[in-house]
Amino acid sequence: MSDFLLFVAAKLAVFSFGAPAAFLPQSRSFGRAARLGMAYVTGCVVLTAWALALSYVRVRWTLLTIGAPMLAASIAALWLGRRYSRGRDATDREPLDLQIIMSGVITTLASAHVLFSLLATRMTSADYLYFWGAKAAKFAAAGGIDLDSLRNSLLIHLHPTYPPLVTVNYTWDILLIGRMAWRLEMLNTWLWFVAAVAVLQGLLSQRIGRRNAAPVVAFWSAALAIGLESSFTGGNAESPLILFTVIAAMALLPGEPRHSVLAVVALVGCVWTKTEGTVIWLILVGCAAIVRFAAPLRSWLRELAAPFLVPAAALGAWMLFEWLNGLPTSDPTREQAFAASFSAAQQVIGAMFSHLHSGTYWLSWLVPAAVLLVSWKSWRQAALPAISALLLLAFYFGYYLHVEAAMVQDMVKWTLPRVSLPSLALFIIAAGMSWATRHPER
Amino acid sequence: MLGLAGASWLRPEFRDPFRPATPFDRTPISDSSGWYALSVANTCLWPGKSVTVIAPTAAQSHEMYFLAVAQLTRNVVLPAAYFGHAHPDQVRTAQYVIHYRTTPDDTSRLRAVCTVPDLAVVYERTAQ
Repeated sequence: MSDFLLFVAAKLAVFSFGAPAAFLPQSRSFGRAARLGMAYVTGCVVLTAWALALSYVRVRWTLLTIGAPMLAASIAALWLGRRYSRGRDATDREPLDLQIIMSGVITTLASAHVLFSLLATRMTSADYLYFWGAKAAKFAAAGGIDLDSLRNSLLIHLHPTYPPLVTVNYTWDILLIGRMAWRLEMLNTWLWFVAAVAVLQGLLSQRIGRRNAAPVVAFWSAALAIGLESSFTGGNAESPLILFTVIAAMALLPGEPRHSVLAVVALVGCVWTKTEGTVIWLILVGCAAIVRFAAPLRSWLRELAAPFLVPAAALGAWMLFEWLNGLPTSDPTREQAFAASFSAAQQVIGAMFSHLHSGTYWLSWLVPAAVLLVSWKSWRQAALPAISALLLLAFYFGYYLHVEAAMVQDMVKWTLPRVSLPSLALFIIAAGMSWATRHPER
Repeated sequence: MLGLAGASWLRPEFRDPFRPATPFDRTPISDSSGWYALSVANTCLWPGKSVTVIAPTAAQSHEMYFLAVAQLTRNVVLPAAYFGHAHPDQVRTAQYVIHYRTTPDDTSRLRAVCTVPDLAVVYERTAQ
């Protein structure tokens, strides 16, 4: 069978692992695309959880040890949950108008831009070649987390402290295909992007109406597609981090409808995708707590206990695994937490400003900033994503203060265009929600 | 507006987009010919044996080591240079030596096992 068909089979399996999420009572109000996106998001997370569990008990990763139990668990969950999932599904057959159609065309073109850039190897990430993909190839060869490689001081560029989600998902594909298909594997970046678009469309439609959500998602897709391409993120962890970040932020918004399960799944995805995913988790839950400051303690705890505790447990599970197996658990960023030099602050701000162009001459930031300014009276609706976006940028500002002054310019140039994308994603959502609140659908 | 601002598809290097030979032909991150050379070399290495890659400069050897770790997963890859440090001891112990855009000073204990035209020669170290 061709590599492509096997890759498709691997991805269909991930969808099926997460299928129960699409049939939760909370999910039935979404359209088909959003539910498929939720199934994929959940599949990526539960696949990682199971692979990590197998690593704890030293069971080799194979198609059988991963695929069979995951599929059985998914079918069992669907069977057991069938009585909870009865009821009318939402349909996508609502009337279309020119605004929705044009927005759909832009969103499709943005998605095609990412796909085309990946196929043409126009946006390949160095990190994909150097460690994300390399680690997956090694994990597949070792039949699990390759402890020998991660402990090897001559392989520190594999970043043994980095969390496992991206590597596990790539390794699953390799187990099915039988080899590391380097160009094909980059299509995961596109799938994560498309899943983000689909779920965001569903979540935003519930909040601000389908007609208002469509242009917001169109702008979001265009800005993020260009940002992902111009910052060379093909195959690296930026795309899944954006996916988990925007879903978590939307699911943590106060008020109805509540999406607590989705918030927990997305936040676990954050902490298992990248080191800064932990920062994003803390910022999002912290902001969710702040925007609920007037809520009674009981509802505060009911809505935020799980989004705080479950990702903490997930992060703890990964760090405990590292510790038990003699892998490094520390990160130079954390070790130097009190070694910041504020003398470079001006230089860092200048460098950050010049590299926030996102491949669009700063338009991706300027347009939502202008919208937020014009709609400032409805700031409350935009508070969670807007504050989270700015706090995340502030975190990177603090991070760059730890970098040697001579290296600041290069470090910002190499990293900020891509690591700022989750902030950009949140910022656009904030602007869209703020604008839509001023222009409610009739 | 955003589409025009980020229109990378208007750039001249975006022609002939469906004929990339490596995963990063059109990405200015690395030397894609090095990746290609290693993919060919991978077909003539005996699995399980150790291998190192020597390039014209230490920086290139360092980068080729990264790419070799990614591609030559059936072999034990040893660095000729790693983060600014040369590793002559690793080069001496490697059972295969890939000379990428370089030629060995002494070939008396090396046997060429395959060639990537204009790019690299794979040598196997012979018994002393």
